[in-house]
Amino acid sequence: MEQILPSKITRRACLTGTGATLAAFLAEPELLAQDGTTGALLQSMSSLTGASLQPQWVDPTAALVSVIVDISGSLRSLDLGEIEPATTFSAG
Amino acid sequence: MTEELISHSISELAPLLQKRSISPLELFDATIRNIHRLQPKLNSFITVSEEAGRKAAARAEEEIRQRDYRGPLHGIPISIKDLFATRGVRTTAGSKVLANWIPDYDATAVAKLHEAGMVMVGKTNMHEFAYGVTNDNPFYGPARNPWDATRVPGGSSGGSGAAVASSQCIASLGSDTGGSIRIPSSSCGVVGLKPTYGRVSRHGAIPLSWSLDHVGPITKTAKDAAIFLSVIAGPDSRDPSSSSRPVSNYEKEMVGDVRGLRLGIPKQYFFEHVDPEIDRAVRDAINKLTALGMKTIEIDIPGLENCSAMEAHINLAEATSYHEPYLKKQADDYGAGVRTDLEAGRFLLATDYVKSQRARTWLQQNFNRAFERVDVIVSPTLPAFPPVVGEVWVQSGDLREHIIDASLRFNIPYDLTGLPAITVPCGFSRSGLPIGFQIAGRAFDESTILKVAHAYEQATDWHRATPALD
Repeated sequence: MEQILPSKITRRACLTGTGATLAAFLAEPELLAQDGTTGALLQSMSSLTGASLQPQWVDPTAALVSVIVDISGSLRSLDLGEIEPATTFSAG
Repeated sequence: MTEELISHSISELAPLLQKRSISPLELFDATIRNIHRLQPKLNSFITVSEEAGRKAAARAEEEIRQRDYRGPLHGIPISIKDLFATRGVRTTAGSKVLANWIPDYDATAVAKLHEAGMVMVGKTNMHEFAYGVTNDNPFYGPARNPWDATRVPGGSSGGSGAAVASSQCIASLGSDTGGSIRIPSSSCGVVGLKPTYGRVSRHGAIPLSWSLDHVGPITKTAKDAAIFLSVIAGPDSRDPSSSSRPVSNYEKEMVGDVRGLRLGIPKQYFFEHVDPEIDRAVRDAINKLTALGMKTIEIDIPGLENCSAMEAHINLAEATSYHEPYLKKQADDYGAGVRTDLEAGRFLLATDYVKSQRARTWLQQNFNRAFERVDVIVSPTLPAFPPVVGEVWVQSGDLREHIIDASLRFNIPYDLTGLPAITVPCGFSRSGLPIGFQIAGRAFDESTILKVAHAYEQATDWHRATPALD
């Protein structure tokens, strides 16, 4: 039985693909509508990021950010106790 | 005779060069002729270094004639992924952004290869800034798979994998952030070794993600990978993550009996959603190793389900941080896919980045516990076959998924943990596409994975297969 990944994963796939698949994605209004809220949020964040997102990159960027947030649920719920982050910083 | 020579491995050619049975110049000329023949079909190179390469070959010939033999890479034609800085030779990173950059220094690994006497034949095609797995490059054209030129070679070191498989060089220097050495090696039917994080200097490799980037060889055999690694491994004060641990004698340690070594078979994750032909070939490879006396042990590795999210947060954040200056000046010079990833990197949370780095430590602990019970962990390198150029969907057994998700799934755990992993050819699909078998080991224990890979190669002939390209 074939499994199909959740729609947002599918959309990430379109976004990280070639120019042709990106164009196909941008021509799909139903998909774009789902990320309208995220897109508006990203555009409003230029004062925080210090960089304004050009209009043509709002929708694909919003879709990709949405996907990453979607797949981060399990990671965010991990209780890692006293574990510190991996780092290569050395003071000496 | 000369044309046939280029199909041989480093370990086969080196003694002939040392004894002067063959000449570095004739080996170089045969390699260049093959590059000219195949470049229109496979597009493996961004830059061919014909003039500088011929000078290096002539120098090697004279040095060997004067009995100043430097070692097994002396006079060997080698290609370099265009990610690595090469003094006086254009280094594009597969991008328009760096289209005209001519570095005034060599990456450390490149400098070591020069010291060892390599003959650099050129800079290989790659996914733009190593940020992808298809090598469908919008600026330099797609690299293509020698086993089926309608298909991608995998990436991001796709030109390197294709060039080694088609003998446009004898070996290549690649990089691996989410599988970029092992993915094209598996897709093109050659050997790819991602060493332990810190084993090979990253200095001079254009970063994708500082904490995930690894440098390593793509070769025709495991023995060649050992020879190549011996040259490029070692400490480097210009790479803050470089390890000062002594470098093993890989060639010596990889030889010998594998009887009694324990082969870890993960119960979860690594054998899920795999093409049946790949699954069968990998299980046959495991059976071959058990026939050689290795024991199989099933193992649990908790936390693997988080790898995709961890990779996304770390890779996107670090890549965007590195590219910020270029984004300010040359944003429109990026391809659409890479530009989207870089823009998205601005909007991820610092807490998710730190959580991902903490989860890496946890994942390392989980792998370390597994390695208390086993000596190596095996799996398929990829769950699906490379698609035709322009297609981004693949069928991984019962799962239809994007080529990025499929390519990273079994590779990224070892970039996140920094553990060494090698892929070796273990069969072909009915349609003639290569299959890769991944063998991973403990940190800084490249010798054991090379030993298992070498033993497997001694018992099989898959690594000897060459694509028909006429």
